[in-house]
Amino acid sequence: MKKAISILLILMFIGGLVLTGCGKSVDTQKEEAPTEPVAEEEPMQVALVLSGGLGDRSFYDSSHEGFEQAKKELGVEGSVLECKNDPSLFQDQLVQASENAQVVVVVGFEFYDVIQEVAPEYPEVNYIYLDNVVEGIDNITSITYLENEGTFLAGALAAMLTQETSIEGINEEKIIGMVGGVDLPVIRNFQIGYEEGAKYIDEDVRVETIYAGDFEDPAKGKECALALYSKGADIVFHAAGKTGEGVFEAAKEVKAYAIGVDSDQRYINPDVIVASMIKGVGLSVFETIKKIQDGAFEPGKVIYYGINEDGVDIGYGTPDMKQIVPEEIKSKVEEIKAKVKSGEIEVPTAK
Amino acid sequence: MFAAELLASSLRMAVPILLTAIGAVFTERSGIVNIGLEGMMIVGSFWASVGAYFYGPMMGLLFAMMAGAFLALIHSVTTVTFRVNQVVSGVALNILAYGSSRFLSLVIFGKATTSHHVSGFNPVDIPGLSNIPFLKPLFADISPVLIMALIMVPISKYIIEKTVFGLRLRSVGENPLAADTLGIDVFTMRYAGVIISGMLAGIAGAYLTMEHTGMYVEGMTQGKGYIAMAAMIFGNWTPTGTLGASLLFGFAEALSLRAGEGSIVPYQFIKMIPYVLTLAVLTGIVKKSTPPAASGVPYDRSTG
Repeated sequence: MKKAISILLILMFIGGLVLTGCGKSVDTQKEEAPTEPVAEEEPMQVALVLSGGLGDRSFYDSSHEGFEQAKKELGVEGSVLECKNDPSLFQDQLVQASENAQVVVVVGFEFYDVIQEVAPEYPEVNYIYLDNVVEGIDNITSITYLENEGTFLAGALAAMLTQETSIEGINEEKIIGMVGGVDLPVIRNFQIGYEEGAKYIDEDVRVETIYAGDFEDPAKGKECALALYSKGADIVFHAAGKTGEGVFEAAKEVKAYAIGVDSDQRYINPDVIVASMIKGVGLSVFETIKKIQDGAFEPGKVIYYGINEDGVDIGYGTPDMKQIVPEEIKSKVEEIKAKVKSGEIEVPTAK
Repeated sequence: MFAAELLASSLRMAVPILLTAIGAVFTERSGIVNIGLEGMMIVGSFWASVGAYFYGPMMGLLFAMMAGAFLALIHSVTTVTFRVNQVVSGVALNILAYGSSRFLSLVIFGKATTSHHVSGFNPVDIPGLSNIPFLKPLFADISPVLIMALIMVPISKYIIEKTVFGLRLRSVGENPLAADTLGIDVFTMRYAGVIISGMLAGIAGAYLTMEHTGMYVEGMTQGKGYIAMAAMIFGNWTPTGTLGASLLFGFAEALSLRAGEGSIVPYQFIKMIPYVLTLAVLTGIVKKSTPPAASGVPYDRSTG
């Protein structure tokens, strides 16, 4: 009797596995790829591979927005593959993407070694590698952002804001804070711009930085931000992805202010988030896919998205939100932006 | 000022570990090893966000308890009735918890990895003590769940050591054959131990979502279930011991998050502290530990 039941169960399992394999493919994995040669009328197949995951409302979501925009306006097709910060998945997801797409957008500094192994295996595929620089491989085009230019503006903004004691929640002390995610050169680049921007306004402004060690843990972000606020900071900038959500929670609790990152995050909490340092990840994805489609694309190069390419900027939310930053500070930020654009101010880099 | 704030932060970080560790005490004392506590925290955190988003914090807590208890029911059925290897069952439940939360999050919230913002309980102040400026962070604006967690310690101690139920629970964990011959229902006791741990782990997850972070984020438990087990071992399988151990782990984490750039010690070393501590505890460097005698061994009436 027992034996019969076990055999039945085994058959059911096998049957289940077979049926799942035959079934319709789920959104994130393209099992059945078009195998016919791609003609001009066929939509271009693009894959988006993320080292982290969607839902961070900043970095990865920005790349996804650019991807979705390309799908809508340029008619490309494709799917998203997430690695959820698990390095063991990097290779598999990248190979999976390369098998099914002509253009693979690789998002994440962490892919540095894996992409150099996989790209030569698929010489027909164009790789667009975001947030890091790989040179010498023909089908990898690197896009690197000059986030230090953007955070220079954010640091200047915060330094000016912390001296506006007339605004409720700003204290007497000239201290601003930053919460970093993982200690990577990219995040260090955010930091150095921020510190330099603050120093440009006033040498006495102190910048305190804590690295949470994680891009995915809001609880850590909240604790780090609380520590910064208790040290006297009244504005905390975050470059920490999902961990940054905790920073906003902390700002709400202590009734202080925060600056968002990568996307315009003011909508999350317009009362405490005064501005965001926007990194044009989505913009760069869209523009590059468009260039490939128009045939105006030169692979193998390094593309810099800085302040001159609208790669970085400061966003203040939508017009219906109450503005916490006074107009004089905003116009000063615009002045500084023009100076950085013209080269009058040179922001040091950490990359 | 800094010390009070650090202490307050340690308490906040210690609460999920404490609650889960007390649950672990119950289940291990009854003889069942529950590795699935991490999974029960995960479902607790997810279902708390569901309940709190649609109905309010109280329902969030209730949903979390029931979710944790349900997972614990599965664990107890497999390990007590069917005598499956307890570690295997626990690990399988962790995977189930992770996957089901992601899937249901997509179905219910439309987003796989985060939920919408949920509100927790209103923070309370301890009357009188919260007016002292030095100790303000410690006694003002604290979560009711934190108070509940601290109260759970003496209550659990009383239950385990002074009630009949507690005595039977312990006997089932030390020598189930002897307990069985005396007429104590080994299976019911073990079920009770595991389900209690599931409920407590669920509450811990709810605390993380509702009180600590304000939203559900995938992976927010960050291995706290496993740290809770280490805390339980460090606390020598008693509720008061686990209180001390959880506070220690909470303190280590709070310290590691405060280490900024300008510290004397490179901040990376301070960040290592919670993990080094866990390792030290588990390898027995810090303390010699005496587990319940029959912990981890399934009880079979025919073989004893």
